[in-house]
Amino acid sequence: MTDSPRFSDAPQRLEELTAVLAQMGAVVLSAETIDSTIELVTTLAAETIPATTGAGVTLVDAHGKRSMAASDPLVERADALQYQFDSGPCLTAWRDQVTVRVDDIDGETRWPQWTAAVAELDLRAMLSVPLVTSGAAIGAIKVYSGQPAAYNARAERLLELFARQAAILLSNTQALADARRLSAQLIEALNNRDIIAQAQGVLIAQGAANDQAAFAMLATASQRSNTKMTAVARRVIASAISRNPSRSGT
Amino acid sequence: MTDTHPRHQLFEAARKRAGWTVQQLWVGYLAVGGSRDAFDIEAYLYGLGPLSDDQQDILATAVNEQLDDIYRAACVPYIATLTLEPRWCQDPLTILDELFGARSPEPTHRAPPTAEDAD
Repeated sequence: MTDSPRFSDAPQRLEELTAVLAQMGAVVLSAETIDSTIELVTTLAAETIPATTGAGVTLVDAHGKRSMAASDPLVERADALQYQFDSGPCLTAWRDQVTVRVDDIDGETRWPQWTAAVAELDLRAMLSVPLVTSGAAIGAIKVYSGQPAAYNARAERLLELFARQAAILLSNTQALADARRLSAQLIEALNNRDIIAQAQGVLIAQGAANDQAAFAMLATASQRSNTKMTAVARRVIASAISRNPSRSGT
Repeated sequence: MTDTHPRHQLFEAARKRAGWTVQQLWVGYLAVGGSRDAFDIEAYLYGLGPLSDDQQDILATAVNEQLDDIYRAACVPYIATLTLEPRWCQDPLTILDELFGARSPEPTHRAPPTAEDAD
């Protein structure tokens, strides 16, 4: 069909794709945030797949939280409609882990609600590929075109190849962000833990039988006063310090 | 046994209700003094491993505080409220004094500011 003219420059495209993939490879080293990485992948996808009006990436993390980016407001609208109806080609691509191609939105019957709503936008064809790493779908990438039948089997393969690299990049960035968040949480946790341990020590000095008894006392005081345990522990420590003779003595 | 469910199931249900992953629960448990690792906690939640009573209480503190936070965040604030003198609020230090009083005759160095002779 419309195959040959668009891909007559195949070697050149391959060179471009290699450059694009190299660009993605450098991202992890520069420690980008997940949002800026999604944006980069989106922009690159729009540039890589011929005849594309705009591209979008949606990422779903372990808690079902979605992050997304779109290179074009039309794509953003078309995507938002999918989440509104909880039905659409990208959601199918993500849930069923299959490549989904729509040659012409005008004649499309698989997602009637979405198709009807998206008809007013200036989009005709779309292609969506799941982002899969180690067997799990972490999201989907999609490109939209204003021309019907803009995407063929070769475009599918190109986007699949692109998606494979993008998935690795995005999951690494996500893992890095998760690790950062965890280490921040751990530091906070250890600070709280120190405070509780100090308060336990104070209570033991005041006659609590052991650390377990001291914990039980803190837990009881926390529940009965409707105060967080760390706040109770802080009060206990502050009270011990205020009674310290070396503080008030001189 | 008054509970119809084993305790580990109560913990697992509370964890889900608190919207926590096992890892988040473990960090919360670590923060209030827990000393078992994340795998031990996960195994306990699924009924695959034991957890001592004192560690269970630490775990309960972590998840209950998170549930309180969620509950409080969902509450609708009142328009008219009355302010109480601090001495009428249940002060954690006063409660601790009471606990020391009940537990041992040893005097604590803190003198309770109000009469707490009841009970």
